[in-house]
Amino acid sequence: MKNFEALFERARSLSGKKISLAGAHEVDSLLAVERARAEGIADSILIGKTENIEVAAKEANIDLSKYEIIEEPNEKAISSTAVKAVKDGRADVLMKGLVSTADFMRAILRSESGLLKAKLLSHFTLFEIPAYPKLLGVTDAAINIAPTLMEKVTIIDNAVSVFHKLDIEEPKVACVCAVEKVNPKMPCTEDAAVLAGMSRAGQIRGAVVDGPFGLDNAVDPDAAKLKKLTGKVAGDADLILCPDIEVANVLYKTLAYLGGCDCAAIVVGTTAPVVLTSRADTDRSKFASISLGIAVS
Amino acid sequence: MLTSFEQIRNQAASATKSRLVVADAAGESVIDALAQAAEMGIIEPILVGDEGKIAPLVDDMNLSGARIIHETDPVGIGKKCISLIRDGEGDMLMKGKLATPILMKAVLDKRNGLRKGKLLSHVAVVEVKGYPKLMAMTDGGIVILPDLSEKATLIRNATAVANAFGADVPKVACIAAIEKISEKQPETIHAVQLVKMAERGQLGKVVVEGPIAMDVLLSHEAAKVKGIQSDMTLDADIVLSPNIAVCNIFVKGLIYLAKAKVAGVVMGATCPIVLLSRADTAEVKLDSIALASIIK
Repeated sequence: MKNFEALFERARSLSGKKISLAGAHEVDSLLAVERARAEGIADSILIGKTENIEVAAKEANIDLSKYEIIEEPNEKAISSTAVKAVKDGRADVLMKGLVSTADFMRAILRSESGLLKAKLLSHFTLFEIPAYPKLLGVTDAAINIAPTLMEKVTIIDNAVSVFHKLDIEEPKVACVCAVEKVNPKMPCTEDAAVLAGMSRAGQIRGAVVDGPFGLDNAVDPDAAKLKKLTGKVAGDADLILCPDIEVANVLYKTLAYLGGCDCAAIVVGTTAPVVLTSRADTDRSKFASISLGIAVS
Repeated sequence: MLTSFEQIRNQAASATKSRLVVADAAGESVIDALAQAAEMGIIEPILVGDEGKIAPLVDDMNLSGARIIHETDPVGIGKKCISLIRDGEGDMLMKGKLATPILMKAVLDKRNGLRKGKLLSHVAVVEVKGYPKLMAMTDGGIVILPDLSEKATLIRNATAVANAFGADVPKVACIAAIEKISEKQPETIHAVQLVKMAERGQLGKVVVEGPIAMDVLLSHEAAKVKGIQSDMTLDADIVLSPNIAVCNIFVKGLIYLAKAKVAGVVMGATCPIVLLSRADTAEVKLDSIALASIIK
């Protein structure tokens, strides 16, 4: 997938999809789902106190007759009601509006009524970078702080399932560190070598994982050549696995704020994709996040 | 490519004689092995120790061409041996009757020793029916539980031995109980890390594979049944063991149960070191001296 236009196209082609918006009494979120509706991506079910949703809709100049509303007067229960709508099959994607992140995550993680599928949830971001010939995934910039080796395996699995839904059958996963050599003083290089070995041994399926790489030789064929790195992943990564949240978060914000790149972000490892936009996101990024959620639902 | 101890002896005999410095040669079995090696034209012995004890043995055993350097103090013997090597008067070192800790202390002395790399390690070379090559196994003698960096050094040290057999790019098999990578079996983790280090050129000219189980290493049949395609099957030059026990038990098993021929050498110093055990046969002693003499 080369750019977000292709992603939007994919989302549009899947008709009849629905978003469950937890805490719809917020102008930003309403504008985002309204754009998704208007552009033929998905309709939404709005969850919250009807009275409050009506106020926000009026301010956003949105006609609520095109929406189903689930009245949930108890603010603390909005997230679980929204999760239930997904669980019951009434919606395909969960989206966070004006609810506390803690309540929202708790509702997702609840063992019986929640949406947890994998061993852990992880955050996945897809970037549209003008200088890169295809969309580039980055994980995990928001949820897992310092993942262990086996947690990294799950984070890779979670991200790989997104690529599979986008018809990228064998995504190239680069485990990025500061250097491409294995150095026991830099544990992430040791993990990267093990992940590469597990991939080669068939213990990580549906992807080709390699590393350690420096970021340069993961995304630039010339840099890879210069360091004499061979293999499918070198210089041509689809996904960057970062060693920890700091690296991923700084990479994310560097691309977004200094690189001016739009991105789509979702939470994966759940039975249905979860869209978590931030008010700081550009309108196009919000739209891309919803589209990504729909495309992989 | 050398594939037997007979070939090692022949090559050692046809090459320039190695000047072998022996730390306290006052023992019959030591002088006997030296006499054989000298007669075959493998070595020129330099015997450091009590001349009064060594000279009669040299005569009795017909050891010809030996230079004797008189020294009675054990620590003095160790130091003298090291200085002979450092001064270029000797090419390799052998422990005679001098206690191992005294010799090792002299070898490892930071200023006046024979340190080269970070670590000394033991390499056992095995010739056994059913394996078409000489197998350099490490480490069953010195490094007890090597970490990743130490294993990298063990591979580098063993590479010089495999190079001496004519394996220019030795194949290194990191053995484990299974091929599956699991944190519960740390040797499998080290194995894949070493594979990547080799790929990144961090281990010199070698090809590394692992984790690999012994059956896959020793039998095409087993590899086939397990569905594993490995370049190492019956073709590895170096076998890296997870720890000292595995290597030690494996090599002794081969000697006593499979009638394997074995020689040993300590690597990682500025010259090869022959360190024999009293239990070693005369053949093992001769083969170990021949082995050390062909290592560059």
